[in-house]
Amino acid sequence: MRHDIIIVGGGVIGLSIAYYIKKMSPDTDVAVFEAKYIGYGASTRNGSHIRVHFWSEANVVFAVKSRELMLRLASETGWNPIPYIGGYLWLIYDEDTYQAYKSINSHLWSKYNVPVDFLEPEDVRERYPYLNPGRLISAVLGKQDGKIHHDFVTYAYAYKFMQYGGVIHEYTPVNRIIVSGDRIKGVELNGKTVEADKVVVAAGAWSRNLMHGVGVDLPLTPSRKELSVLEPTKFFIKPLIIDMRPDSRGLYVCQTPRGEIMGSVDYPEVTGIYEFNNTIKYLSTYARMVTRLIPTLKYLRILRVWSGDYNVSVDHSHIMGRDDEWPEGLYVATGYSGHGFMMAPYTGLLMAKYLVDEYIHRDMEPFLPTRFKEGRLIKEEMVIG
Amino acid sequence: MDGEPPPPTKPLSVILLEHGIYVYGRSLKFSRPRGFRTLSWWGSERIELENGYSINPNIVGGEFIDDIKPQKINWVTSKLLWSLRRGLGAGFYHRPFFRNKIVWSIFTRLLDRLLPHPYPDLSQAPVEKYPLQINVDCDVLIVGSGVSGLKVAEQLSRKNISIVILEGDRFGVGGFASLLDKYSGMISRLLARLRRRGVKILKGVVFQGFLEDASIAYKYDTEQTILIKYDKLVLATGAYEIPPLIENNDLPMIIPVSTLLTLVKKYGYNGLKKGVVIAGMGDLQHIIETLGNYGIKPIITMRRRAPSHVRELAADRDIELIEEAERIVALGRERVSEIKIYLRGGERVDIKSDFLAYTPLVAPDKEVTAQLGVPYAFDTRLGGYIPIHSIYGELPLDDREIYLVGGAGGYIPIEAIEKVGEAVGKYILSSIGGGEDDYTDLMDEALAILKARYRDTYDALMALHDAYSRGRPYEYVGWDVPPTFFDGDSSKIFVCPDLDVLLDDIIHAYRDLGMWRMEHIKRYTGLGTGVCQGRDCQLNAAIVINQLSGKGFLEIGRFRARFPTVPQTLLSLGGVEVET
Repeated sequence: MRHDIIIVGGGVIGLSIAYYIKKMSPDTDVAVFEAKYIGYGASTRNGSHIRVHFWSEANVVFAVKSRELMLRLASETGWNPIPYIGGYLWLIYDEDTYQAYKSINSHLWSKYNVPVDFLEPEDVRERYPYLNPGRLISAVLGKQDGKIHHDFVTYAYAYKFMQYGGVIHEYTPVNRIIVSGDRIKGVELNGKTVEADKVVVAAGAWSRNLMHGVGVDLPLTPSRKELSVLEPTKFFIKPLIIDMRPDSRGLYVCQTPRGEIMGSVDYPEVTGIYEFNNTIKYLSTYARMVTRLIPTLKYLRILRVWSGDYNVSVDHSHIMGRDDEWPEGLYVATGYSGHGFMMAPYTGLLMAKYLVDEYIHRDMEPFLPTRFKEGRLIKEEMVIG
Repeated sequence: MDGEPPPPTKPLSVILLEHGIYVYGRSLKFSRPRGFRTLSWWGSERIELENGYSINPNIVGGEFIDDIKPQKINWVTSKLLWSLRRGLGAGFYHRPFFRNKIVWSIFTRLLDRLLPHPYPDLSQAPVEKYPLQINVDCDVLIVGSGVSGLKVAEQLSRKNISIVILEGDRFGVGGFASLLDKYSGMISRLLARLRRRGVKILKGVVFQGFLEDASIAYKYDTEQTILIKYDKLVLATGAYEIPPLIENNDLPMIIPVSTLLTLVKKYGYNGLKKGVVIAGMGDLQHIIETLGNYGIKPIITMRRRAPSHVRELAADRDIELIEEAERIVALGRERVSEIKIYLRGGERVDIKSDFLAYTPLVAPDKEVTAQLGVPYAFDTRLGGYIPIHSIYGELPLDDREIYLVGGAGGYIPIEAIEKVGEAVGKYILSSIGGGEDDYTDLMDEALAILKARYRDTYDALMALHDAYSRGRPYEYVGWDVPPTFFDGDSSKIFVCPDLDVLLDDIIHAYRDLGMWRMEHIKRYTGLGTGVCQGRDCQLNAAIVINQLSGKGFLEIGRFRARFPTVPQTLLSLGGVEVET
């Protein structure tokens, strides 16, 4: 068996790349290998939000383009993930943070036409009467951000890719990547070899181990995040709200238009290899933090809990493309550090251009894996949750 | 926890029934409220959707709030919503029509106006106090106070072992057997003995399951979280019930037989006179006897020709028996009023009825065992997905001593369940050096009872045991309850009453999108993300997919039910002290 391009990982990143390759070059033979079912990892275990407000220019540029593609997804693929642009609301409690947001807004966010609004505490109380914001000094409302049904984004790419003649192999784990001399030969599946000219590793939290196999060490640490969902009520929490009190443990909370209230705290910290379990530490901390912020939630009941992962890179930004020192034909798109779902559309587009035409778009340059040895780290500090 | 239980307060649903209020399901998929069982039971604005499922005694919550003003959606709105909904299958919002922002916004606003809807009280009073956590420390924790659980406790309490039993129901103990008149005496004697021996029974406490750092139970009347430490855990939760695919099964009063018995026996509901009971259940004789004591005369129906014991029973009590029923259709506007039974020969029998009762397919993977991630087998004779374990009930988990006991009352004869409970009790005793090891004899006796009365179930158990000892996957499909849903209107059959997933939706996902793995069905239709977390609906969906695609159940797969077993308030969870 032989393919032009093999994509390892049937998550939203891998499928987006696969879709754009087929769209640009229908004759390219692309196969996706997925260890479980499509969307198994963080693609179906995330907060289903998109945002454009990042701390670094590279990420802002990337996210703005990605957002445009996300909003066009319905007309492009026929799968409507029902975007709801309800905004992100950062509740700010100290002067330094406030000044930092002011400054980044004027020099970065305004530049890319995504300025935020600064709300006075009275405005916050009026607009969001359900909040108990405490000694708030300001709130930042990112009106361009919003929510979108994540499962349907993944399915949109998967089904469109299959419609173009692509093949997705589920429950087909790639055991290792095979290198012959200084170039990629293919991948090994349960003792069977499948050859390919190019192999793209888009395996989320499992990427690092796969890359280890070919002697490449990516600076990635998977980190488990727990989430829970409350029974559905009327849709009243329009934005995703981030409580930035120092003792709030990174609380964020949001509501899906179908009424489920979802949220998380950044506790307990679990990194490395783990199972997708949950803890009483999380549940109790989350319950306290979220009922402090929105007291009315105290009588709502938790329907279910789950966990997913952030595949965190050292500079909290993703790694895409290749390093010329790697075996020829080996590519990655991984390490999204908690915002992979929202970056998937533009990643797919740029990676496809790179794979098909060998063209490195300038928006992609900052994210190349060579940045670590060249010391061009991206200064990204806005990671939510 | 000691002394006589307080007289049961009638749950809201029963009071509603008595006042002739039947509000049945209407969900608009993406909108709120969703399925007819997704009731938000808080705040005075909530609506209670009555349908026979929400009075399922296994569903905890909501039934004890006093300040309810039930709202009934008027007939015109209900018809309008229903007609709208027919066009709104799973994934309806992918359709080009809804890509237009204006159409979408008109649509969502219309729903907002039409639907009475739970809306939280937006007052800002911060939470001042969380109910304190309770700590329970015991040698053996038994979950479930049915016959199995009590029998295990009886054996263990002969030695100096601290035992705690958790019962989800706030008033009743004794499980299914306590609903049958014949076993009431046996249960109370057993309880008295346990009380003398100092066994604690915590009522109104639901075992929520396993978190990575704790095992949790929930005392829902005081909103307290219980952190439990134990050396050995016995899961004796029996079977949670699954509504089978009966045509028109959104109608109130199509109910599991245990719900029927709870209504008449525990809550004294007397609005029922005549109805149809689908036969084939373990204690049919006692079910009929108990119903008769409350002045209800059922009609028995079944799909095959009746075995001799059912025939004798019918003749003995002068009860009408309808054999070889191909299809059962329940009719009625607000609740069941008539049942049509189509026979294999093409004839039809019409019966004026108040209810249709069935023993659902049972699934012993319900409840907490579904969270354990143990290997599963599939056997329709035992009721679907079964966790693979030895016949003595020990789950093959490396680091935890967990025993899974018992079967589903109403499906497996109570006498057999009694023996198994006793056997497992002795087995556990022998494993902690308690001496006796005559549990094998008891097990043989239990199996003999089963073999004599229910050959199918016996064979299934044996085959499963065989599979366990060989450590291989096991799948048996031989329809005991073959669904004939394709004849009916599949846009009116619910596969998941929580999220309003219709049979149509599953068919659409398979035919139009080629989805057949349960994980995809879940993500596309939303099945299994509601209150039941797939405990009720997963098997239904699997049956549909199996029939459509011919794929095996193990291949179709299943998703794990997650913590918690029943929804739990944030208030109660906030009461747990954790190191930070």
